[in-house]
Amino acid sequence: MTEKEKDNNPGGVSRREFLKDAGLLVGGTAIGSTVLLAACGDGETVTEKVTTTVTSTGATTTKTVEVGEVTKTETITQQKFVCPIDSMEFDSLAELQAHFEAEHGGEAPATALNVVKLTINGYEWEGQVEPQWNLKDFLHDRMGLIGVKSMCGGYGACGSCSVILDGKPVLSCMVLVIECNGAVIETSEGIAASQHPIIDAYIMNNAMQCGYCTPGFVVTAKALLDRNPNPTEADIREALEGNLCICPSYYAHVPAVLAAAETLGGA
Amino acid sequence: MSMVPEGMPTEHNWETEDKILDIPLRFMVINRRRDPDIPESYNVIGKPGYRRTDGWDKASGKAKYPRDMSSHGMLYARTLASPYANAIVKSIDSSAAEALPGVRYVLKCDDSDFMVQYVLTAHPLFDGEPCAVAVVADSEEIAEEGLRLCKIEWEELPFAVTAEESLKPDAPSVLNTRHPYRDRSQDPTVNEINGTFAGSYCEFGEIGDIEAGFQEADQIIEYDISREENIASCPSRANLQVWGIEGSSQTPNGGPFSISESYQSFYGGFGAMIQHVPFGLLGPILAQRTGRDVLTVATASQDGFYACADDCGNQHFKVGFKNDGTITAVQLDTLYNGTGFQTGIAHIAGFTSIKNTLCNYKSAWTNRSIMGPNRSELRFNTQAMAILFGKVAAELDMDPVELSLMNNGYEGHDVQALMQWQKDHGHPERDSLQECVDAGKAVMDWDNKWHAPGAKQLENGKMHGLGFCWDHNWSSIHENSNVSLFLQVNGKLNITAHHAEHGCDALTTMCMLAAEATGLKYEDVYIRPAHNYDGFALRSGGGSASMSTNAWSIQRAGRELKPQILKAAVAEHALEPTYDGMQNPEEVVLTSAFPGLEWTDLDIKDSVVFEKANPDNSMTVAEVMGRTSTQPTGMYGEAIGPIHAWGCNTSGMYGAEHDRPTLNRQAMFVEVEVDTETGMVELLHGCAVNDVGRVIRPEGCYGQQVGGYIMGIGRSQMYEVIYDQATGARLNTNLLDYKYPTMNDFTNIDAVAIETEMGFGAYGVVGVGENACDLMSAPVANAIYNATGVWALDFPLTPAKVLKALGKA
Repeated sequence: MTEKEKDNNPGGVSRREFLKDAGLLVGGTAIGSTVLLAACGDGETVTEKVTTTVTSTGATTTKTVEVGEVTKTETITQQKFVCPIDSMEFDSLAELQAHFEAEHGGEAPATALNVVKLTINGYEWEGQVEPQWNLKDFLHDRMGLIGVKSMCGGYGACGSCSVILDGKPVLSCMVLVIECNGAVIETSEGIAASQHPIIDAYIMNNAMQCGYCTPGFVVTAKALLDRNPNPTEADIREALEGNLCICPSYYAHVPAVLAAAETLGGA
Repeated sequence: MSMVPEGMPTEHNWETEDKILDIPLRFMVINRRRDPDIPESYNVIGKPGYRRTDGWDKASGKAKYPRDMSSHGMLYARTLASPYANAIVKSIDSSAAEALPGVRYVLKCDDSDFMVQYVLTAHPLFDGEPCAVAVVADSEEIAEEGLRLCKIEWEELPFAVTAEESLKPDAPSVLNTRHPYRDRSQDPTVNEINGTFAGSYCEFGEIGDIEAGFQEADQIIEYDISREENIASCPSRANLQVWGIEGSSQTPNGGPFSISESYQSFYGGFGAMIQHVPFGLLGPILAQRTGRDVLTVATASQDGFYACADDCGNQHFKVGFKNDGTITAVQLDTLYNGTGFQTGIAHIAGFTSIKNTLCNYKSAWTNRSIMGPNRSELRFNTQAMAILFGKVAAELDMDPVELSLMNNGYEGHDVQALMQWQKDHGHPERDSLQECVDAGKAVMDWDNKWHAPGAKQLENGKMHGLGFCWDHNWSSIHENSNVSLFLQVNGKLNITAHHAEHGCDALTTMCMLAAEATGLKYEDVYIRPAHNYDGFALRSGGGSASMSTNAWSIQRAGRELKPQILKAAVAEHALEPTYDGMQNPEEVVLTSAFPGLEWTDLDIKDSVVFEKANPDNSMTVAEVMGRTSTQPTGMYGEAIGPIHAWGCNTSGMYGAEHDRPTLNRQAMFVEVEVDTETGMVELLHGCAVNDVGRVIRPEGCYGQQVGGYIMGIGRSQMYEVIYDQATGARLNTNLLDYKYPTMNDFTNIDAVAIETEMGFGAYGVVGVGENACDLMSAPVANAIYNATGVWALDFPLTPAKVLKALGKA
């Protein structure tokens, strides 16, 4: 918006006011939610006729701002910590804890406030979670790690949602995020980013068909190689037996994992 | 290009006279023929080792499937799964759901829009059918909670989950007008309340004279085959409905629409998942009602198990044959649950020399899942073929392989007539089945291992058996496709096309085909999904015939593109860029990169344009394109527009002569051991032999053959949806209770690809993806008979059913 346009819109709201409004809306939807920055820059205003729609999916909040006929959708930029008693929001865990102690009488350890600290693919994340959130949905829907797939729909039956949790392969649909405080989590995206040879071995051995289950296999195979750098064919079959492939691509996984092991051994 | 997967051939065995050179083998390509119209060799196709173009995305988890799609402000929709096999919604109180924070919209079946009434039925006809109400919310879990808060009053109705019950005079009406094949209910021969079709099947009713065939026979036998409802799809599904636009899990285009948010990857649906049409229409309605993008998500039990394979039913066979093995008559009385898409007689009538056949076909609506083709129409037909030859061979104490060869042919004509037809129509005089059989028998050491039924006990006490079956190799171009090739100024080629990458590695294969057709290197070819930004909705085969159809389209586009590159190479341009644009045009010397040559004097190989008579006179395609297209200012000479070509294939347009018989064959061999105490059947060795016409991508071909074999293990021994007869409820609609094969359920598989170049597709290809798994059920049954002397024909052949056949349960 140009300065001239601003002058013609004396009733516009400031960015600060916009954010305040957004924060109130968000605070009313879910704890652990995030607020959004307005599309305009500092000092800019948006037109007065602003309608907002807030979509909250727990930790992730998306806000669609309709300015006249123009619709802008904002991105997530900031993590908020919400008091479980009065829903007040704070920018840090320390502020929330101070508030809790002052207003609600008593110390509140992070875990009591549903705050977990995770290391996901090497990056630290700290925030509030709902007690019922499972790790699969948290990673896929809220962290955007779409390599955490779901074939069986949360029965713990297919292995597509496998992640490495503190060094062990787990079915993330069977794990609650709130149980994971302090955990180190590795997904297929992290394995790929680390240039682990299992990725190239899977590609060159064509160890995939439709590919939906493949990240789960990659995770399980990487966990196997972490604990057993020289697996036999029987070791590989046993380790991967819990991962289902419907197409199926089973025939190519053993050579893929053996190739990765050979590469690792030669490194 | 450096790393060849274990078991893959390191070179094409072009002129292999000795059919099996290297045993044991995992994969071998056999081609013994050179058609004069076909090049001596190809630059790209048929060669292993090309890096899979979508490999990194799939291995790293970055590949986007419909469930992974998201957009700002996207909402989630869930529909109610019917708790009853047959019931009517009397009323819905959704007030509590609508009051739930985060719920944005509730769509109910009493909506005034007739389309909603179609999509969201008030009369579900099977347990789990999406019905009654859909809740749109900020998250999937809120939508699910909203569904739980909806209070629905139901009127339960009588149900029938078997065809026999459904066809009783007092059976409840369970006609499912929402089924995609519902039109069959209009057939005037329907004579029962729930009959979808009855009478002699129109295409394969009576061929020849069935009674004369039985009179001609020396022996007549009768037997029954039955199969339980089954599914072999990846049970995960979601559709992102970008406002007013519809996408699907099978292909990214739905009729006149295309999806603007493109996803490259699809679940391994194998066809059946697209059968429930209403699900695909729900999203656009919800997106329109909410003004937002809506991701409609189905639960595994809803989606994975409401679209089952269409071969659930019973077949009664009556077979007449002579003592020399000539089969004279086959009569099939069949009864299917739901709408059988298959007959069981089609392949016997179409691909053998048996002159007299009759199919009395009947199917009935039941309160079961939607059924449709699931990885091919081959299955019941293939099963019927295999058991037919196995049964007759057993009666005559013959090797079923030899009996099959005796009766090979087409439409009642013998194999000599088939050879003559091939000769008359420009095809090689190759006996495809004979070649498949020769290869498979050699791999399996069949002649040394074959024994009489029940005659071989292994040291571990189990019984040893061999099984065999054969059929035609899926060969069709029944689908349409469009492909666009666009050569960028840097010499890179973009393929824009829809595709059906369900796991057959369609993307890499299409890049290889484009490289072959244009002369470019594989590494210079890229593919991206088509969407509506490209102007109009491209179409592609949905999967079954995607290779055959897309191969034609790419070949055609490539052959139009290549001359354009060569013409660009001989176009006259300033050799040096005229940066200031101020030179007098009369002073600029315009020259061709290949002075004095016509474009027809040139060719392209490995992305290099060269003079055919003097290959050292060359220039890379990138240089040609850069020379003609990238001069920043003051360009002189002939302007070269975008080098671009379209290719299309209309169903049946290319390569498909009228009334052409199917020429390619396939064979499947298995070796098993049967524990007669437990009923366990263990596969010791298997070999899939497919006349694929032409191998394009060896890894993909091998993967479909062996992958299909493993899926076939599930079909033969595991896949079974179990219904509670008392309630009509499905009891095992999850992956804990419904069994799929795992890493430890297979071993020791070989694959052989025969190349006869007799397929419908470009380069003589046929599809291979639907084949091996379709053949797999029947040879297991034949092998169990060979091991025990007892026929087990109630599929799937679980240990319990084998024990029952053995009289031990």
